[in-house]
Amino acid sequence: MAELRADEPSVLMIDDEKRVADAYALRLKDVADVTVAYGGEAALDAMEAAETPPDVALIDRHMPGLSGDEVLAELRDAGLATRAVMVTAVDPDLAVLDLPFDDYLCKPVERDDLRAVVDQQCRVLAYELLGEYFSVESKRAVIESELRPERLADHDEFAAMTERRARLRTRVERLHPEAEALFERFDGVDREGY
Amino acid sequence: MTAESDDEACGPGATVPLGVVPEPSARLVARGETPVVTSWNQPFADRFDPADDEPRLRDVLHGVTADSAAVCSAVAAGESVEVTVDRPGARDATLRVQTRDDGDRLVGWLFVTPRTGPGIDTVASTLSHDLRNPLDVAKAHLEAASEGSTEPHLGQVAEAHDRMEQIIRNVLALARDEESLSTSPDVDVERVAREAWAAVETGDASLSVADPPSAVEADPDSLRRLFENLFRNSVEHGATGSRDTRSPDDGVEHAPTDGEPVEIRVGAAADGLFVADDGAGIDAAEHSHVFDPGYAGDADGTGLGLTIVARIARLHGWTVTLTRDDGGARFEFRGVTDGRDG
Repeated sequence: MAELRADEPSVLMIDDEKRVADAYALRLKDVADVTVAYGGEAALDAMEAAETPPDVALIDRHMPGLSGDEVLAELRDAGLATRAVMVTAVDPDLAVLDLPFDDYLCKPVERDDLRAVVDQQCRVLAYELLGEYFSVESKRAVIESELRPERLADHDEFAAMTERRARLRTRVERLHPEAEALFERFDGVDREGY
Repeated sequence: MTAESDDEACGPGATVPLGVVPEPSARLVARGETPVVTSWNQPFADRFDPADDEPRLRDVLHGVTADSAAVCSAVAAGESVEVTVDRPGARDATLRVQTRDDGDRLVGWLFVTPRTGPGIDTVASTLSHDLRNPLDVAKAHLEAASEGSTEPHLGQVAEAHDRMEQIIRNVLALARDEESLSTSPDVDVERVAREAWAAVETGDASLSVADPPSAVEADPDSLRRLFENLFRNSVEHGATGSRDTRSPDDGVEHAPTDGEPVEIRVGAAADGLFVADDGAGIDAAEHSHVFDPGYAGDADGTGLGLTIVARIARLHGWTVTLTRDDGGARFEFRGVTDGRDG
């Protein structure tokens, strides 16, 4: 299997301690486009302001105000396509059974482990988004093949789907180094029949 | 009745002679409605100096705890009680009286045990939690320094090490007991406060020391640490901390809305001294929790700073209360012995 490495995945580092958040950003700066948020509220603001959600959110649990667990819940409620990794000095207990995170790192974290986790999560996200892209693109392609362009020109739902397809495609291309080959293979399938 | 009555069993289980108990301990019986002390060990004799052979419990406890009457009534009623010993010289201790109804008479046992600080598990948990962040910061900057320019990374490493040192010092302060205090009768409050101020990163904050007690009976090192932790709390949460996004009910002192640097005052209070600031204060509902170890948002990030303040106060036999003062936080210490009186 060819090594998958995302092209500058976007990472949101969330920690109320500025020095800690900055230190994690420093460790990732060569392999990711990192934004830092010094607290839960700042993290939600950053996600709301971003055009595209972060690929990976690294979330400290023990934060005053909005805690990391609450940030995670908000992130999930918003349905964002973001992989969530708790990075924390809080030792896990049975309560983590109810937390919808994708990975859990206990501080202190080695740089190689941090980078490996980000890479793993980007790999998973790439396939998730690819599956979503295939779903959207198959619908779009079959509709486009059956209906005349003038009928689709003013169709809002079709336009939104087309836009979503483009966003997914761009994101998959950024995260998956073999994206073009996968797209070609998908496009090569005859879905129209006779 | 004599001290060191080895034949007198100690405790409801009646298995340990009084003489082998290292802490002040005694045996009681009820004479009618009056509990009296019938035997005791040497530590009890040293601490309470019983006046006669069978002193009334009430007389023994007079001046030892403000609750002596309530304790005697409870014991006479066959209850077991636990109170704080607040007699000077017997600080930081808990007095327990356990009783047992022997059918025709009520018997009891009295113990004085040192009150310990937070449990080792709490301290270990807080310590391990809080050292991890500066450790991560130091590692990150060392990695960066090893791969390129040492600036500004080595400075960041040094800062992280300073923080770890601070955490260790705080834990050691927490572990100190009464015997480890080196008390002087005339500690210069203003000088110690200014030394503490110099040791804290205070940014734009300012200190004003206005007519504090000129000299108090205290352990100077502990008093300095008390000031350091209070100053850190005010500076980092009063105005310039990075935690200015807290919700209003998080129990942490909130940054003033106008963003002005915080001003901290040290002065005299009735029977003691105070440290106050003009930050946004701490919600009253949280006042009872701020001294708990691991309390979220403690200024030095260790969660131990205000616990240490309370610990140092208690070791000196002082009480500490937290109130709001013109919107800010005011820590008031009472029971402080004025050095000029000594």
